[in-house]
Amino acid sequence: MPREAEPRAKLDQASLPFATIPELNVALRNREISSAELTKYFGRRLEKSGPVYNALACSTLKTAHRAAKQADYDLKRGRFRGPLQGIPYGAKDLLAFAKYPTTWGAKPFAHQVFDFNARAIDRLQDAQSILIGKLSMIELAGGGGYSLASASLQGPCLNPWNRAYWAGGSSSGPGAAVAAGLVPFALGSETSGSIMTPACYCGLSGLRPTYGLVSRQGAMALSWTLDKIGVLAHTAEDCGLVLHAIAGGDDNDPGSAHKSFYYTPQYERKMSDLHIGYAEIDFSEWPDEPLRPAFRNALRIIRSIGSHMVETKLPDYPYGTVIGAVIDSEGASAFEPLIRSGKVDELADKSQIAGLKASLTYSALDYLKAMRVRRQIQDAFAEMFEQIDLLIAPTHFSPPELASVPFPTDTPNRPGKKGVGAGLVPAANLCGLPGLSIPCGFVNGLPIGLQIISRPFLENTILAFARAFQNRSDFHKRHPAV
Amino acid sequence: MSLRYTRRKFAALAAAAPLAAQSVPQTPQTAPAPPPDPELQEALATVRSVSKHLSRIEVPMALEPAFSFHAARG
Repeated sequence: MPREAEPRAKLDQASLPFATIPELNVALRNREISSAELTKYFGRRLEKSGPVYNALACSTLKTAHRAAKQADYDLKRGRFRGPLQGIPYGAKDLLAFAKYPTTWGAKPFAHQVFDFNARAIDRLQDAQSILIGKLSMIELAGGGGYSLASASLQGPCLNPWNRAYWAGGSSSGPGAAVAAGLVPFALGSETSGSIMTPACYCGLSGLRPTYGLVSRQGAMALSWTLDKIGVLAHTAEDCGLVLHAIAGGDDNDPGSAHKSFYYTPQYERKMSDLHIGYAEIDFSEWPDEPLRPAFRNALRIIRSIGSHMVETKLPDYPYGTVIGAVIDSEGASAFEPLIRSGKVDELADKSQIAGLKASLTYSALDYLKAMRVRRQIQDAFAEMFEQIDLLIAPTHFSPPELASVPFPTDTPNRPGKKGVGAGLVPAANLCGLPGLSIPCGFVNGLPIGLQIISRPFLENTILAFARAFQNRSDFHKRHPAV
Repeated sequence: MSLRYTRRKFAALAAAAPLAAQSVPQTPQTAPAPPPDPELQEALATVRSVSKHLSRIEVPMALEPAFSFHAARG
Protein backbone atom coordinates (compact mmCIF):
# COMPACT_ATOMS: atom_id res chain seq x y z
CA MET A 1 0.00 0.00 0.00
CA PRO A 2 1.18 3.58 -0.53
CA ARG A 3 3.17 4.98 2.37
CA GLU A 4 2.35 8.30 3.91
CA ALA A 5 4.03 11.12 2.04
CA GLU A 6 7.26 12.48 3.51
CA PRO A 7 6.48 15.48 5.71
CA ARG A 8 6.92 18.88 4.18
CA ALA A 9 10.04 20.62 5.37
CA LYS A 10 8.73 24.20 5.18
CA LEU A 11 5.81 25.33 7.29
CA ASP A 12 4.10 28.63 6.63
CA GLN A 13 1.86 30.73 8.88
CA ALA A 14 -1.27 29.05 7.46
CA SER A 15 -0.08 25.47 7.88
CA LEU A 16 1.85 25.80 11.17
CA PRO A 17 -1.17 25.70 13.54
CA PHE A 18 -2.33 22.41 12.01
CA ALA A 19 1.05 20.81 11.34
CA THR A 20 1.38 17.12 12.13
CA ILE A 21 3.97 15.75 14.53
CA PRO A 22 6.30 14.46 11.74
CA GLU A 23 6.09 17.86 10.02
CA LEU A 24 6.99 19.71 13.23
CA ASN A 25 9.73 17.18 13.97
CA VAL A 26 11.32 17.75 10.55
CA ALA A 27 11.12 21.53 10.98
CA LEU A 28 12.77 21.29 14.42
CA ARG A 29 15.52 18.95 13.31
CA ASN A 30 16.21 21.08 10.22
CA ARG A 31 16.33 24.13 12.52
CA GLU A 32 13.68 25.90 10.49
CA ILE A 33 12.09 26.68 13.83
CA SER A 34 13.17 26.23 17.43
CA SER A 35 11.20 24.61 20.24
CA ALA A 36 11.24 27.96 22.05
CA GLU A 37 9.64 29.63 19.02
CA LEU A 38 7.06 26.84 18.63
CA THR A 39 6.24 26.96 22.33
CA LYS A 40 5.82 30.74 22.24
CA TYR A 41 3.71 30.53 19.08
CA PHE A 42 1.30 27.81 20.29
CA GLY A 43 1.36 29.12 23.86
CA ARG A 44 0.21 32.57 22.78
CA ARG A 45 -2.44 31.07 20.49
CA LEU A 46 -3.72 28.94 23.35
CA GLU A 47 -3.79 31.83 25.83
CA LYS A 48 -5.50 34.14 23.32
CA SER A 49 -7.97 31.81 21.60
CA GLY A 50 -8.40 29.08 24.24
CA PRO A 51 -10.92 31.20 26.19
CA VAL A 52 -12.86 31.91 22.97
CA TYR A 53 -13.81 28.20 22.94
CA ASN A 54 -13.78 27.80 26.76
CA ALA A 55 -11.04 25.26 26.09
CA LEU A 56 -8.28 26.55 28.37
CA ALA A 57 -8.25 25.62 32.05
CA CYS A 58 -4.80 26.97 32.88
CA SER A 59 -1.74 28.05 30.90
CA THR A 60 1.54 26.40 31.88
CA LEU A 61 3.62 28.55 29.55
CA LYS A 62 5.88 29.79 32.33
CA THR A 63 7.27 26.30 32.93
CA ALA A 64 7.09 25.47 29.22
CA HIS A 65 9.63 28.10 28.18
CA ARG A 66 12.33 26.53 30.35
CA ALA A 67 11.58 23.04 29.00
CA ALA A 68 11.64 24.34 25.40
CA LYS A 69 15.06 25.92 25.91
CA GLN A 70 16.38 22.58 27.18
CA ALA A 71 14.87 20.80 24.15
CA ASP A 72 16.60 23.29 21.84
CA TYR A 73 19.88 22.79 23.67
CA ASP A 74 19.64 19.02 23.17
CA LEU A 75 18.48 19.27 19.56
CA LYS A 76 21.38 21.57 18.77
CA ARG A 77 23.82 18.98 20.13
CA GLY A 78 22.21 16.11 18.25
CA ARG A 79 20.70 14.51 21.37
CA PHE A 80 17.52 13.28 19.74
CA ARG A 81 14.81 11.99 22.05
CA GLY A 82 12.28 10.93 19.43
CA PRO A 83 9.62 12.54 17.25
CA LEU A 84 7.91 14.49 20.05
CA GLN A 85 11.04 16.35 21.14
CA GLY A 86 10.42 20.07 21.41
CA ILE A 87 6.77 19.84 20.36
CA PRO A 88 4.17 21.60 22.56
CA TYR A 89 0.97 19.89 23.70
CA GLY A 90 -2.00 20.29 26.04
CA ALA A 91 -3.45 17.96 28.68
CA LYS A 92 -6.97 17.46 30.00
CA ASP A 93 -7.31 19.08 33.42
CA LEU A 94 -7.86 15.64 34.93
CA LEU A 95 -4.11 14.97 34.88
CA ALA A 96 -1.90 16.29 37.67
CA PHE A 97 0.85 18.75 36.76
CA ALA A 98 2.93 19.72 39.79
CA LYS A 99 2.31 23.15 41.31
CA TYR A 100 -0.44 24.08 38.84
CA PRO A 101 -4.17 23.74 39.60
CA THR A 102 -5.77 20.44 38.63
CA THR A 103 -9.47 21.17 38.94
CA TRP A 104 -11.08 18.10 37.32
CA GLY A 105 -13.35 20.69 35.71
CA ALA A 106 -15.33 21.02 38.93
CA LYS A 107 -15.90 23.94 41.32
CA PRO A 108 -15.35 21.90 44.52
CA PHE A 109 -11.80 21.19 43.27
CA ALA A 110 -11.10 24.63 41.78
CA HIS A 111 -8.10 25.23 44.08
CA GLN A 112 -6.68 21.70 44.09
CA VAL A 113 -2.90 21.58 43.50
CA PHE A 114 -0.76 18.45 43.45
CA ASP A 115 2.99 18.31 44.03
CA PHE A 116 3.61 15.59 41.44
CA ASN A 117 2.96 14.96 37.74
CA ALA A 118 0.68 12.36 36.23
CA ARG A 119 2.73 9.46 34.82
CA ALA A 120 1.60 10.21 31.25
CA ILE A 121 2.85 13.79 31.60
CA ASP A 122 6.17 12.51 33.00
CA ARG A 123 6.54 10.19 30.02
CA LEU A 124 6.00 13.09 27.63
CA GLN A 125 8.49 15.10 29.64
CA ASP A 126 11.00 12.26 29.12
CA ALA A 127 10.33 12.58 25.38
CA GLN A 128 10.94 16.35 25.77
CA SER A 129 7.46 17.28 24.64
CA ILE A 130 6.39 20.61 26.13
CA LEU A 131 3.18 21.00 28.16
CA ILE A 132 1.77 24.47 27.43
CA GLY A 133 -1.66 24.24 29.04
CA LYS A 134 -4.24 22.32 31.01
CA LEU A 135 -7.42 21.97 28.95
CA SER A 136 -11.03 22.15 30.04
CA MET A 137 -13.25 19.14 30.67
CA ILE A 138 -16.72 18.19 31.75
CA GLU A 139 -16.78 18.31 35.56
CA LEU A 140 -15.58 15.04 37.11
CA ALA A 141 -15.46 13.58 33.57
CA GLY A 142 -19.25 13.41 33.60
CA GLY A 143 -19.58 11.02 36.55
CA GLY A 144 -23.22 11.03 37.61
CA GLY A 145 -24.41 11.80 34.09
CA TYR A 146 -24.66 15.32 32.69
CA SER A 147 -27.25 17.00 30.55
CA LEU A 148 -25.59 20.33 29.72
CA ALA A 149 -22.55 21.32 27.66
CA SER A 150 -21.98 23.93 30.39
CA ALA A 151 -21.26 21.23 33.00
CA SER A 152 -17.70 22.51 33.29
CA LEU A 153 -15.75 25.05 35.32
CA GLN A 154 -14.94 26.91 32.08
CA GLY A 155 -18.49 26.83 30.71
CA PRO A 156 -19.62 25.09 27.52
CA CYS A 157 -16.67 24.13 25.34
CA LEU A 158 -17.45 25.42 21.86
CA ASN A 159 -16.81 23.57 18.62
CA PRO A 160 -14.20 25.34 16.44
CA TRP A 161 -16.14 24.28 13.32
CA ASN A 162 -19.18 26.21 14.50
CA ARG A 163 -19.29 27.84 17.91
CA ALA A 164 -23.03 27.32 18.23
CA TYR A 165 -22.26 23.64 18.75
CA TRP A 166 -20.60 21.69 21.56
CA ALA A 167 -17.07 20.29 21.17
CA GLY A 168 -18.08 16.99 22.80
CA GLY A 169 -17.03 15.58 26.13
CA SER A 170 -15.71 14.89 28.54
CA SER A 171 -12.30 15.65 26.93
CA SER A 172 -13.84 18.84 25.53
CA GLY A 173 -10.85 21.20 25.80
CA PRO A 174 -8.43 18.73 24.18
CA GLY A 175 -10.87 18.33 21.27
CA ALA A 176 -11.46 22.06 20.72
CA ALA A 177 -7.82 23.09 21.27
CA VAL A 178 -6.37 20.60 18.77
CA ALA A 179 -9.09 21.30 16.18
CA ALA A 180 -8.54 25.07 16.45
CA GLY A 181 -4.77 24.65 16.03
CA LEU A 182 -3.98 25.87 19.55
CA VAL A 183 -1.92 22.78 20.40
CA PRO A 184 -0.51 20.15 18.00
CA PHE A 185 -1.92 17.30 20.13
CA ALA A 186 -3.48 16.74 23.53
CA LEU A 187 -3.93 14.09 26.18
CA GLY A 188 -7.51 13.15 27.03
CA SER A 189 -9.19 10.37 28.93
CA GLU A 190 -12.08 8.02 28.34
CA THR A 191 -14.31 6.06 30.67
CA SER A 192 -17.02 5.59 28.05
CA GLY A 193 -16.87 7.86 25.00
CA SER A 194 -14.89 10.82 26.38
CA ILE A 195 -12.18 10.68 23.69
CA MET A 196 -14.26 9.26 20.84
CA THR A 197 -16.98 11.93 21.11
CA PRO A 198 -14.81 15.09 21.03
CA ALA A 199 -12.62 13.51 18.32
CA CYS A 200 -15.75 12.87 16.24
CA TYR A 201 -17.38 16.27 16.86
CA CYS A 202 -14.15 18.23 16.27
CA GLY A 203 -12.96 16.30 13.19
CA LEU A 204 -9.87 14.79 14.85
CA SER A 205 -8.16 11.46 15.21
CA GLY A 206 -8.79 10.32 18.78
CA LEU A 207 -7.18 7.18 20.18
CA ARG A 208 -8.51 5.30 23.19
CA PRO A 209 -5.82 2.72 24.03
CA THR A 210 -6.41 -0.75 25.44
CA TYR A 211 -7.29 -0.64 29.16
CA GLY A 212 -4.08 -0.74 31.17
CA LEU A 213 -1.70 0.25 28.37
CA VAL A 214 -1.21 3.83 29.63
CA SER A 215 -0.71 4.50 33.33
CA ARG A 216 -3.45 6.47 35.09
CA GLN A 217 -1.25 7.39 38.03
CA GLY A 218 -1.95 11.06 38.78
CA ALA A 219 -5.25 11.07 36.89
CA MET A 220 -8.65 11.61 38.49
CA ALA A 221 -10.39 8.30 39.12
CA LEU A 222 -14.00 7.94 38.02
CA SER A 223 -14.15 4.22 37.36
CA TRP A 224 -11.06 2.16 38.20
CA THR A 225 -11.97 -0.66 35.85
CA LEU A 226 -12.85 1.60 32.89
CA ASP A 227 -10.64 4.73 32.93
CA LYS A 228 -8.07 5.09 30.13
CA ILE A 229 -5.68 7.90 29.10
CA GLY A 230 -5.48 8.57 25.35
CA VAL A 231 -4.66 11.06 22.61
CA LEU A 232 -6.40 13.61 20.38
CA ALA A 233 -4.41 14.69 17.33
CA HIS A 234 -4.65 15.62 13.65
CA THR A 235 -3.84 12.20 12.18
CA ALA A 236 -3.78 8.52 13.07
CA GLU A 237 0.01 8.65 12.65
CA ASP A 238 0.26 11.38 15.31
CA CYS A 239 -1.83 9.25 17.69
CA GLY A 240 0.56 6.32 17.18
CA LEU A 241 3.61 8.47 17.87
CA VAL A 242 2.15 9.86 21.10
CA LEU A 243 0.94 6.46 22.28
CA HIS A 244 4.47 5.11 21.74
CA ALA A 245 5.72 7.73 24.21
CA ILE A 246 3.05 7.45 26.91
CA ALA A 247 2.39 3.68 27.01
CA GLY A 248 4.16 1.37 29.42
CA GLY A 249 3.82 -0.55 32.67
CA ASP A 250 3.53 1.21 36.00
CA ASP A 251 3.47 -0.42 39.43
CA ASN A 252 1.63 2.64 40.73
CA ASP A 253 -1.40 1.87 38.55
CA PRO A 254 -3.13 -1.30 39.75
CA GLY A 255 -4.83 -1.58 36.35
CA SER A 256 -1.53 -1.48 34.44
CA ALA A 257 -1.15 -4.21 31.84
CA HIS A 258 2.66 -3.89 32.20
CA LYS A 259 3.02 -3.75 28.44
CA SER A 260 4.75 -1.29 26.15
CA PHE A 261 3.59 -0.06 22.77
CA TYR A 262 5.93 0.34 19.82
CA TYR A 263 4.49 2.27 16.92
CA THR A 264 5.60 0.17 13.95
CA PRO A 265 4.06 1.37 10.68
CA GLN A 266 6.94 -0.32 8.85
CA TYR A 267 5.62 -3.74 9.87
CA GLU A 268 1.95 -3.19 9.08
CA ARG A 269 -0.16 -6.06 7.82
CA LYS A 270 -1.34 -6.09 4.23
CA MET A 271 -4.73 -4.40 4.07
CA SER A 272 -5.94 -7.18 1.76
CA ASP A 273 -5.32 -9.70 4.58
CA LEU A 274 -7.57 -7.90 7.04
CA HIS A 275 -11.17 -8.92 7.79
CA ILE A 276 -13.29 -5.90 8.68
CA GLY A 277 -16.52 -6.44 10.61
CA TYR A 278 -19.23 -3.93 9.77
CA ALA A 279 -22.98 -3.60 9.25
CA GLU A 280 -24.31 -1.95 6.10
CA ILE A 281 -27.31 -0.69 8.07
CA ASP A 282 -24.99 1.42 10.29
CA PHE A 283 -24.04 3.52 7.26
CA SER A 284 -27.31 3.57 5.34
CA GLU A 285 -30.19 3.58 7.84
CA TRP A 286 -29.01 4.24 11.41
CA PRO A 287 -27.51 7.72 10.93
CA ASP A 288 -29.77 10.78 10.95
CA GLU A 289 -31.11 11.31 7.40
CA PRO A 290 -28.79 14.26 6.49
CA LEU A 291 -25.70 12.28 7.55
CA ARG A 292 -26.42 9.18 5.44
CA PRO A 293 -24.86 10.26 2.10
CA ALA A 294 -21.61 11.19 3.86
CA PHE A 295 -21.48 7.86 5.71
CA ARG A 296 -22.25 5.95 2.48
CA ASN A 297 -19.34 7.80 0.87
CA ALA A 298 -17.11 6.84 3.82
CA LEU A 299 -18.07 3.21 3.30
CA ARG A 300 -17.07 3.50 -0.37
CA ILE A 301 -13.63 4.74 0.68
CA ILE A 302 -13.36 1.88 3.19
CA ARG A 303 -14.21 -0.68 0.48
CA SER A 304 -11.53 0.83 -1.77
CA ILE A 305 -8.87 -0.14 0.81
CA GLY A 306 -9.35 -3.72 -0.35
CA SER A 307 -9.84 -5.56 2.96
CA HIS A 308 -12.39 -8.36 3.33
CA MET A 309 -15.65 -6.80 4.46
CA VAL A 310 -17.61 -9.12 6.77
CA GLU A 311 -21.23 -8.29 7.62
CA THR A 312 -21.33 -8.49 11.43
CA LYS A 313 -23.79 -8.03 14.27
CA LEU A 314 -22.95 -6.95 17.82
CA PRO A 315 -23.67 -9.58 20.53
CA ASP A 316 -26.99 -8.78 22.20
CA TYR A 317 -26.34 -7.41 25.70
CA PRO A 318 -27.68 -4.45 27.69
CA TYR A 319 -24.43 -2.51 27.37
CA GLY A 320 -25.84 0.80 28.61
CA THR A 321 -27.32 -0.76 31.74
CA VAL A 322 -24.15 -2.67 32.58
CA ILE A 323 -21.73 0.21 32.03
CA GLY A 324 -24.07 2.58 33.89
CA ALA A 325 -24.03 0.33 36.95
CA VAL A 326 -20.23 -0.04 36.83
CA ILE A 327 -19.49 3.69 36.39
CA ASP A 328 -22.07 4.77 38.97
CA SER A 329 -20.99 2.23 41.59
CA GLU A 330 -17.26 2.86 41.23
CA GLY A 331 -17.85 6.63 40.88
CA ALA A 332 -19.99 6.65 44.04
CA SER A 333 -17.14 5.04 45.93
CA ALA A 334 -14.50 7.35 44.44
CA PHE A 335 -16.53 10.48 45.17
CA GLU A 336 -18.24 9.37 48.39
CA PRO A 337 -16.56 12.10 50.50
CA LEU A 338 -17.63 14.78 47.98
CA ILE A 339 -21.21 13.52 47.90
CA ARG A 340 -21.63 13.02 51.64
CA SER A 341 -20.00 16.36 52.49
CA GLY A 342 -22.65 18.20 50.47
CA LYS A 343 -19.97 19.86 48.33
CA VAL A 344 -21.39 17.93 45.40
CA ASP A 345 -24.09 20.64 45.31
CA GLU A 346 -21.44 23.05 43.99
CA LEU A 347 -21.33 21.23 40.64
CA ALA A 348 -22.77 23.09 37.65
CA ASP A 349 -25.14 20.41 36.33
CA LYS A 350 -28.20 19.47 38.41
CA SER A 351 -28.55 16.06 36.73
CA GLN A 352 -25.00 15.28 37.62
CA ILE A 353 -25.53 16.27 41.27
CA ALA A 354 -28.64 14.09 41.41
CA GLY A 355 -26.93 11.23 39.61
CA LEU A 356 -24.00 11.19 42.02
CA LYS A 357 -26.30 11.32 45.06
CA ALA A 358 -28.48 8.53 43.69
CA SER A 359 -25.45 6.41 42.87
CA LEU A 360 -24.89 5.90 46.62
CA THR A 361 -27.97 3.66 46.61
CA TYR A 362 -26.51 1.01 44.27
CA SER A 363 -26.15 -2.30 46.06
CA ALA A 364 -23.09 -4.54 46.04
CA LEU A 365 -25.31 -7.11 44.36
CA ASP A 366 -26.01 -4.74 41.44
CA TYR A 367 -22.33 -3.97 40.97
CA LEU A 368 -21.29 -7.61 41.12
CA LYS A 369 -24.01 -8.63 38.69
CA ALA A 370 -22.90 -5.93 36.26
CA MET A 371 -19.29 -7.09 36.56
CA ARG A 372 -20.30 -10.71 35.96
CA VAL A 373 -22.33 -9.81 32.87
CA ARG A 374 -19.31 -7.77 31.79
CA ARG A 375 -17.27 -11.00 31.80
CA GLN A 376 -19.87 -12.60 29.50
CA ILE A 377 -19.65 -9.56 27.19
CA GLN A 378 -15.85 -9.91 27.09
CA ASP A 379 -16.18 -13.59 26.13
CA ALA A 380 -18.72 -12.75 23.40
CA PHE A 381 -16.41 -10.09 21.93
CA ALA A 382 -13.41 -12.43 22.05
CA GLU A 383 -15.45 -14.95 20.07
CA MET A 384 -16.54 -12.29 17.56
CA PHE A 385 -12.92 -11.20 17.03
CA GLU A 386 -11.96 -14.76 16.06
CA GLN A 387 -13.67 -14.05 12.71
CA ILE A 388 -12.56 -10.45 12.17
CA ASP A 389 -9.54 -8.22 12.76
CA LEU A 390 -11.32 -4.89 13.10
CA LEU A 391 -14.81 -3.63 13.71
CA ILE A 392 -15.96 -0.37 12.13
CA ALA A 393 -19.03 1.82 12.59
CA PRO A 394 -20.00 5.49 12.70
CA THR A 395 -18.76 7.02 15.97
CA HIS A 396 -22.05 8.91 16.34
CA PHE A 397 -25.24 8.70 14.32
CA SER A 398 -26.17 12.35 14.98
CA PRO A 399 -24.30 15.67 14.60
CA PRO A 400 -22.93 17.53 17.65
CA GLU A 401 -25.43 18.92 20.14
CA LEU A 402 -26.04 22.66 20.43
CA ALA A 403 -23.91 24.21 23.16
CA SER A 404 -26.56 26.53 24.58
CA VAL A 405 -29.46 24.19 25.35
CA PRO A 406 -29.81 20.93 27.36
CA PHE A 407 -28.99 17.80 25.38
CA PRO A 408 -32.09 16.33 23.70
CA THR A 409 -33.65 13.54 25.76
CA ASP A 410 -36.07 12.18 23.16
CA THR A 411 -34.99 8.91 21.54
CA PRO A 412 -34.39 9.39 17.81
CA ASN A 413 -36.31 7.21 15.41
CA ARG A 414 -33.90 4.41 14.45
CA PRO A 415 -34.46 1.07 12.71
CA GLY A 416 -35.49 -1.86 14.94
CA LYS A 417 -32.72 -4.01 13.50
CA LYS A 418 -29.33 -3.29 15.05
CA GLY A 419 -25.94 -3.42 13.34
CA VAL A 420 -22.62 -2.81 15.01
CA GLY A 421 -22.64 0.89 15.89
CA ALA A 422 -25.48 0.99 18.43
CA GLY A 423 -23.91 0.28 21.80
CA LEU A 424 -20.36 -0.10 20.45
CA VAL A 425 -18.85 2.71 22.55
CA PRO A 426 -20.03 1.28 25.92
CA ALA A 427 -19.44 -2.32 24.77
CA ALA A 428 -15.85 -1.69 23.67
CA ASN A 429 -15.15 0.23 26.87
CA LEU A 430 -16.59 -2.59 29.01
CA CYS A 431 -14.19 -4.97 27.23
CA GLY A 432 -11.23 -2.59 27.55
CA LEU A 433 -10.77 -2.61 23.76
CA PRO A 434 -8.75 0.01 21.90
CA GLY A 435 -10.57 2.33 19.52
CA LEU A 436 -9.81 5.18 17.17
CA SER A 437 -12.23 7.76 15.83
CA ILE A 438 -11.21 9.47 12.59
CA PRO A 439 -13.03 12.11 10.55
CA CYS A 440 -14.85 10.51 7.63
CA GLY A 441 -16.94 13.33 6.15
CA PHE A 442 -18.66 16.67 6.73
CA VAL A 443 -22.34 17.55 6.93
CA ASN A 444 -23.42 21.20 7.07
CA GLY A 445 -19.87 22.20 7.89
CA LEU A 446 -19.59 19.84 10.86
CA PRO A 447 -17.41 16.72 10.89
CA ILE A 448 -18.65 13.15 11.29
CA GLY A 449 -16.55 10.27 12.58
CA LEU A 450 -15.75 6.63 11.96
CA GLN A 451 -14.71 4.37 14.85
CA ILE A 452 -12.29 1.48 14.38
CA ILE A 453 -12.08 -1.15 17.14
CA SER A 454 -9.83 -4.17 17.60
CA ARG A 455 -8.91 -6.86 20.07
CA PRO A 456 -6.79 -5.70 23.04
CA PHE A 457 -3.28 -4.43 22.21
CA LEU A 458 -3.76 -4.35 18.43
CA GLU A 459 -3.44 -0.55 18.22
CA ASN A 460 -0.95 -0.92 15.34
CA THR A 461 -3.56 -2.70 13.19
CA ILE A 462 -6.15 0.00 13.95
CA LEU A 463 -3.64 2.73 13.10
CA ALA A 464 -2.60 1.02 9.87
CA PHE A 465 -6.21 0.80 8.69
CA ALA A 466 -6.82 4.43 9.68
CA ARG A 467 -3.69 5.53 7.78
CA ALA A 468 -4.99 3.68 4.73
CA PHE A 469 -8.28 5.59 5.05
CA GLN A 470 -6.48 8.91 5.55
CA ASN A 471 -4.26 8.21 2.53
CA ARG A 472 -7.44 7.92 0.46
CA SER A 473 -9.28 10.94 1.87
CA ASP A 474 -8.60 14.51 2.96
CA PHE A 475 -11.09 14.94 5.81
CA HIS A 476 -8.25 15.00 8.37
CA LYS A 477 -6.55 17.78 6.39
CA ARG A 478 -9.53 20.14 6.59
CA HIS A 479 -9.41 22.68 9.37
CA PRO A 480 -11.88 25.22 10.71
CA ALA A 481 -11.42 28.89 9.85
CA VAL A 482 -10.06 30.21 13.13
CA MET B 1 -16.46 19.61 93.28
CA SER B 2 -15.12 16.17 92.63
CA LEU B 3 -14.60 15.16 89.01
CA ARG B 4 -14.43 11.55 89.92
CA TYR B 5 -17.28 9.43 88.64
CA THR B 6 -18.23 6.16 90.20
CA ARG B 7 -19.90 3.37 88.22
CA ARG B 8 -23.11 4.14 90.09
CA LYS B 9 -22.95 7.80 89.03
CA PHE B 10 -22.37 6.78 85.43
CA ALA B 11 -25.36 4.43 85.53
CA ALA B 12 -27.52 7.20 86.98
CA LEU B 13 -26.39 9.67 84.32
CA ALA B 14 -26.94 7.17 81.53
CA ALA B 15 -30.44 6.40 82.79
CA ALA B 16 -31.29 10.07 83.15
CA ALA B 17 -30.02 11.13 79.73
CA PRO B 18 -32.95 9.92 77.64
CA LEU B 19 -35.38 11.42 80.13
CA ALA B 20 -33.51 14.69 80.03
CA ALA B 21 -33.69 14.67 76.29
CA GLN B 22 -37.40 14.00 76.43
CA SER B 23 -37.97 16.78 78.90
CA VAL B 24 -36.62 19.42 76.50
CA PRO B 25 -39.65 21.21 75.11
CA GLN B 26 -40.08 20.37 71.43
CA THR B 27 -40.34 23.37 69.15
CA PRO B 28 -43.27 22.98 66.82
CA GLN B 29 -42.21 22.33 63.23
CA THR B 30 -43.50 25.30 61.35
CA ALA B 31 -41.16 25.18 58.34
CA PRO B 32 -42.68 23.12 55.53
CA ALA B 33 -40.77 20.07 54.32
CA PRO B 34 -38.56 20.91 51.34
CA PRO B 35 -40.16 19.98 48.03
CA PRO B 36 -38.89 16.71 46.55
CA ASP B 37 -36.00 17.27 44.15
CA PRO B 38 -37.36 16.07 40.77
CA GLU B 39 -33.85 15.43 39.38
CA LEU B 40 -32.95 13.29 42.39
CA GLN B 41 -36.24 11.37 42.18
CA GLU B 42 -35.54 10.69 38.51
CA ALA B 43 -31.97 9.57 39.23
CA LEU B 44 -33.16 7.28 42.02
CA ALA B 45 -35.77 5.80 39.67
CA THR B 46 -32.98 5.12 37.14
CA VAL B 47 -30.95 3.26 39.78
CA ARG B 48 -34.02 1.17 40.67
CA SER B 49 -34.66 0.43 37.00
CA VAL B 50 -31.03 -0.59 36.38
CA SER B 51 -31.12 -2.77 39.48
CA LYS B 52 -34.33 -4.45 38.31
CA HIS B 53 -32.93 -5.00 34.83
CA LEU B 54 -29.73 -6.54 36.21
CA SER B 55 -31.64 -8.82 38.58
CA ARG B 56 -33.45 -10.34 35.61
CA ILE B 57 -30.23 -11.40 33.89
CA GLU B 58 -29.33 -14.99 34.70
CA VAL B 59 -25.67 -15.92 34.95
CA PRO B 60 -24.06 -19.24 35.93
CA MET B 61 -22.81 -19.45 39.51
CA ALA B 62 -19.22 -20.10 38.40
CA LEU B 63 -19.06 -16.85 36.42
CA GLU B 64 -16.76 -14.53 38.34
CA PRO B 65 -16.90 -10.72 38.12
CA ALA B 66 -14.65 -8.95 35.63
CA PHE B 67 -11.97 -8.18 38.21
CA SER B 68 -9.77 -10.60 40.04
CA PHE B 69 -8.23 -10.78 43.49
CA HIS B 70 -4.63 -11.90 43.83
CA ALA B 71 -3.19 -13.07 47.13
CA ALA B 72 0.16 -11.52 46.33
CA ARG B 73 0.30 -7.83 45.46
CA GLY B 74 2.71 -6.23 43.06
